[in-house]
Amino acid sequence: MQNTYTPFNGKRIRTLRQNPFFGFLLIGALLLALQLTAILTGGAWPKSSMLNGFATVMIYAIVGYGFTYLLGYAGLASLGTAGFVGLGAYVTAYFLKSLPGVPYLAVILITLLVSLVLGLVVGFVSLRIEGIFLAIVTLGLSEIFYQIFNNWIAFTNGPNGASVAKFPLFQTLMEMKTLGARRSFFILLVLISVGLMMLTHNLGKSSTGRAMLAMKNSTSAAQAMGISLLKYRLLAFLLSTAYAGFAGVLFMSYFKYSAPQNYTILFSLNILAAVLIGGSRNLVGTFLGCFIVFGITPIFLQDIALFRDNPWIINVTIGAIIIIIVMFYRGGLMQLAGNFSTSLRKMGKNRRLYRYGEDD
Amino acid sequence: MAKTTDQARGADLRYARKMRRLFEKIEHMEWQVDLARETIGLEQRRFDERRQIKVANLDNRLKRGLYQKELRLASAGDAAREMLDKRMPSFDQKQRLAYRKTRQDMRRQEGLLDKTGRMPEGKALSEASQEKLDAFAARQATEHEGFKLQVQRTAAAGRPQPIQRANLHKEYVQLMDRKAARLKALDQRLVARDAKRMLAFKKRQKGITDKLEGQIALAKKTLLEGQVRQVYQLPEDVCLRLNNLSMVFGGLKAVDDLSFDVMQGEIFGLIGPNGAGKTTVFNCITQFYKPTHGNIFFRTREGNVLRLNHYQVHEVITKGIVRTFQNVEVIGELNIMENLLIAAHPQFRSSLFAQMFNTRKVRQEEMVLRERALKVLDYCGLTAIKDLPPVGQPYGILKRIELARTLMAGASLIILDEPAAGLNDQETVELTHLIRQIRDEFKLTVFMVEHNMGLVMDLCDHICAISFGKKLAYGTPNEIQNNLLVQEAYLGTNDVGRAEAKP
Repeated sequence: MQNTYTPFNGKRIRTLRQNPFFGFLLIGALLLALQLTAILTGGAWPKSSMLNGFATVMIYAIVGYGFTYLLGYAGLASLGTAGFVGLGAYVTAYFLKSLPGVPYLAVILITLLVSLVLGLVVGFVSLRIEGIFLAIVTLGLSEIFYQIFNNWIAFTNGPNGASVAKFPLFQTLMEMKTLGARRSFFILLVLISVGLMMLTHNLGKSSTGRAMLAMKNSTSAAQAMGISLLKYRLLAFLLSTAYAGFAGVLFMSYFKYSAPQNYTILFSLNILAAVLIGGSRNLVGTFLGCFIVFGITPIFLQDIALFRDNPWIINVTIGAIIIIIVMFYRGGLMQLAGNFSTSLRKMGKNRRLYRYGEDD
Repeated sequence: MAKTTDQARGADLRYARKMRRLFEKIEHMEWQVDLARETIGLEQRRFDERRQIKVANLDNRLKRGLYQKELRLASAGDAAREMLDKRMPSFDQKQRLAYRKTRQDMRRQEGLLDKTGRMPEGKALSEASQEKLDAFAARQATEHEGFKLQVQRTAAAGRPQPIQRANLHKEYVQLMDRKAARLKALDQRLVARDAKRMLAFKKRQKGITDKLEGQIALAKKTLLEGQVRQVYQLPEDVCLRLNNLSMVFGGLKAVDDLSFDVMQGEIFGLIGPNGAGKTTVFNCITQFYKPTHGNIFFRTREGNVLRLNHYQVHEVITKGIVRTFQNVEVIGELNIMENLLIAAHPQFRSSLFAQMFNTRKVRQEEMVLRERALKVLDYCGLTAIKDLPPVGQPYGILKRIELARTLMAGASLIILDEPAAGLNDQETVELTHLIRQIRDEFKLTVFMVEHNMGLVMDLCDHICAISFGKKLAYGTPNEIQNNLLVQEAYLGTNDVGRAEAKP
């Protein structure tokens, strides 16, 4: 009878922390909480400039997720990303302005289709080469796109930039009295962002992701195992193109304005840097990388006089981070964080040794 | 005349292509049927696991709620033990740290420590300090005992009065009953739900199977009628035929007019001195190189004869030929299990969007193929390390992974490029057993290049020896061993040897 009273402290067997989507959901929850705080405080904190900064990060992180297929899985480096983001933005603007009756969803589809077709053409031409040559070909492509954005006035409104005023399908959402257009679209953006992270994660863990990784590690083994190099290279390229185009659509929808100066080679390099910083296959890391590269300046440092007057400081810092990561932490920020925590632990151990001596 | 034969040949080829497509369709449908059948057992297991976890979680949660009551009700001894278990470790830890701190301070005062805080070997505290330290330890020991007594006293004081106890016990029993009832209810509910779902699932799978089987039967009938007209002919027992194969790189003839047959179900060895063109032959068969001249014919498991020159590298595996590499090519960024799944790549047939949304079909495919991979891993003795990355594993393990990968592909001909290179004697013996076992169990044909003559002579049924891309000899291991040309190629011309070998 006595042993029925053996006290026991129960623990959960499966926890939320073990869910592979935990990181994505956490990011989404934090961003939503930020927007909610803004709504509750009536815009006192966080300021709309800060929220816009986070929206930028989210949109560019989507480009980054697409880029992880290319860089992290297929092992290809492209510098033409900016062109495709710009393409998405301008095609959206063009269709919304010149064909006002077209529903928004159709505009998204058309934009995706245009970027996919262009991506297919470019991919077929350029994916027979790899490594540094692919980077150079796409660099040229990016320059071509930039010149088009800058000079084809009829389509892009030239250096003045394109802007749109109204969004048909989302009109109700945009004009919700209580929330306002920006706020409601921000919430939608968070949902899209988290959803895309999940989809990207799923594809990466599936046979397609494995095939791309196999191709990156050993082309001959991949071919012998029935993986067509051209097919999967093209697939990675097209996926990154589609993500970039979609990000362009979202950018246009949120900011309603885009200028060709956004889409220079610098933007492509920044995306590459963000994905590298994130660890090239880690989506949470990619988000953090985008936050560092695109987000820190508009969100935090804009208000500090030192950084506002000397923008080079942040650029130099980012450059230094990239150098450190590429040289010492190929796994990116996440690996850096892991190493940091191990070194902290080690420091604690040394301190204990100093204070208490060796244990015997 | 020539034109008409060309036309006939063209028609034949078109016909063959049509048949092949039909055949592929049948294969696809058969895979769906397999999937539908194999998932039933796995789904049941998944349901069971999920149910167990849910029940265990609830059980633990409820137990946590009962903890305080149990502590109150337990006998003085049990309660004391539990409380001691809970509170003593931290107390002891604190005492231990205090002791170490005192000792370290004493050592530091006497200048015994180095910079990091370690005491070098051979140094010791002075007698006086040691005495003080011992006194400190003794004081701590009494404190320890005192604390223990105090805890025991608290535990004893916390025992309820008999009446309270009876009430508590009643309450406890009620709670226990309620807990058991809740657990039972949950279990029953889950069992009922799972049974219902399982029934629906089985019905669904049965529906799929029935529908597909009808289609398969129909397609097979068409195929059987068509199969009379084979475009290429091979004798019944030949698995692979090389017909006047030549491969020229620039001016160098790596393979020169080479012809031989590999029989169904045998272990065939290709030998030759370094640079004889053995790997080139492999690369020609697997279409890494397109042969300059000559044909390669292959009989698939189903009996169709294919001319391999038609196919691209990545299509070869789907016809039933899979190879390993001389310098093992495992995927470093995937773990061993996933390395095997790579070999099953053509068997993943779900679309890109299905994979993105991780639909039920994708999960089922993944589940079934993982289960198969587990079997193969078990067969090759790799189960214990299946979740580790292959990087850093010993060479013998890497070779095993490659071999397991060939099994996973479900091929009928496996091509091994120097399987024993870099292995020690023990590993080589194990590998020999494994290869033979695989051949017998999976009804495969094995074609290998090997430098280890002991292994080749031991294992192979037939051997072809080549030198500078030309065939020297073909025969059983015995014949090859006694062949003069082979001896010459390996050992060089030697008049004495030649004189001895002459009858």
